[in-house]
Amino acid sequence: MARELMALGASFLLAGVLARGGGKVGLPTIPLFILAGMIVGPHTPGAVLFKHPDELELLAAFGLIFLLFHLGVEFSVEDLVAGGRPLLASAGIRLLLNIGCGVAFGFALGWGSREALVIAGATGLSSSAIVTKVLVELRRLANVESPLILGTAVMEDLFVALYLAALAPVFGKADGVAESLWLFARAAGFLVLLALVARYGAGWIGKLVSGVEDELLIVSFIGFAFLVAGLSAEIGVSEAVGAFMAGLILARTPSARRIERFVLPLRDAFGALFFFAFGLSIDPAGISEIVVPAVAAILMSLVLALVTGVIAARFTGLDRLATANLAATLVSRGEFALILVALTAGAGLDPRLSPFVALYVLVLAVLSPILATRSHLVARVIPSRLIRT
Amino acid sequence: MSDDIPIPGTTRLPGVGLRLELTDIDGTALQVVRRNDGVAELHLPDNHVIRLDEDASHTLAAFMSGRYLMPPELTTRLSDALSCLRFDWCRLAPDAFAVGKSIEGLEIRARTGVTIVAILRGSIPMVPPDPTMSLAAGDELVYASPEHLAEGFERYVNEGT
Repeated sequence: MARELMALGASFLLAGVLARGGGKVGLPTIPLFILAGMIVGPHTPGAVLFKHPDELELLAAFGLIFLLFHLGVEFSVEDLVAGGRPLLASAGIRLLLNIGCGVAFGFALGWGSREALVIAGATGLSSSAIVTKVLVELRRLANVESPLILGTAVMEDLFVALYLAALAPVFGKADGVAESLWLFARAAGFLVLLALVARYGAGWIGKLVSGVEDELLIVSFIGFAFLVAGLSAEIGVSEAVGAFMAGLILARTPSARRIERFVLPLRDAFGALFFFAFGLSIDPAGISEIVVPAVAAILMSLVLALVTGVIAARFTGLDRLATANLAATLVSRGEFALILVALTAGAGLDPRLSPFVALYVLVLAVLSPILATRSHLVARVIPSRLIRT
Repeated sequence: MSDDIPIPGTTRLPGVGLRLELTDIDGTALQVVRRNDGVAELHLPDNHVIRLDEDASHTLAAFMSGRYLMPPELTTRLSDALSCLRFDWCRLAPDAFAVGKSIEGLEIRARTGVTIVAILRGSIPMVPPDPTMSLAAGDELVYASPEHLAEGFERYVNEGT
């Protein structure tokens, strides 16, 4: 016990110190939390605080659940509708292109078809956490393109839940087509049930968790989130999707605002551990094997960011600099890529997948804020005849 | 989740908050962002941004509107002192159940367990409120309530249930 506490304490502190240092030069926290895990992990020289990421399995799972639960509580259909058709069209095309090219890229790598689906999700989805942070820190919330950027991130949040739900049965332990279909139907049925609860049962759930003192509210909503996440994992929909749905349900109760506020510190603390635990599993020696495909994927994502940025500009009439801001901000990758890899950890996938996603995320999580800060340089790459102003 | 009053000129910043666009007397565009975390950002020309925490932005809003709003620090202090007692206020929408009815007629204390301590109508605070007076749309009902009864009270004055 004493040893674990010391290791945990030192890990949190190291993660905090690194992230503070990174923050001074404008870096987001996620890559630095991963780096902290790598430094004290078993694969790098020097101190080894945890021999295996499994030692943090439960705490890291809390992180994953709170990350998705917070997305669910915060999600609002009004946010999507407010963006209107330009948002739906440009974000839809962005998703289609990013996921489509990701699948093609995944198959071209030849690591397997299940691996290709993970790669598509990991390379196709922006990090809402980094996107929001970049916009706030660069003081760009008043810019014309910011509602579109944030709306796109929200739409991708919803897509993450759908994609995870669709993938979960693929990674289940099914023997044969019939059983796969049964697992899929069972998972889909459970999701429909949760959606119905969100639609019609929020009042009843609200009585269970709300209208009480803060302490009781916190205890109750954590209980609800964990229970739904656990049930979902049992049924094969993945705990992440369950946590998201639990959040969606509680978002419709009168206590939604308070829950949203209370879950933030939990998400931050356990989320940091989730990223840290991922870092523990990364072997730098493994990274050297996948440098070429990772660099190729990074280049693909950068090109796609410009292409989808120009398409968005045509739908919404953004100018060149705004288009560059959009492209540079939305190319950030982070939590979703890592969640996908974490959820498929037990499925016996190609061992190169994890270091591949690690390097890909580390580079883009760092590169995106740097590019966003210097978006006037990015703007020069965009041919002005493609922008209607 | 949405308790936002649709003020003309606001845009949603999904996941972050709301943005209000204004022009000053000279026609220069100004933008104000109200973040979900309570921070308000005033975006001035030349990329100047002023950030106010929740208390400061409430004070500014009260001062600018020339209306007496319950200072948040006061309600927090009261709530802290009387741990489970909550001081809060709600504004009556035009279609609220309580509009046109009196505190007495509504049997507020008997039905909800909540006490209305003041009514703010425009810039006139009515302390204590006249229980026989008809409530009007736009009235701010300042109330004292045990924490767990506040939601029921607001539902009653708005929906009558």
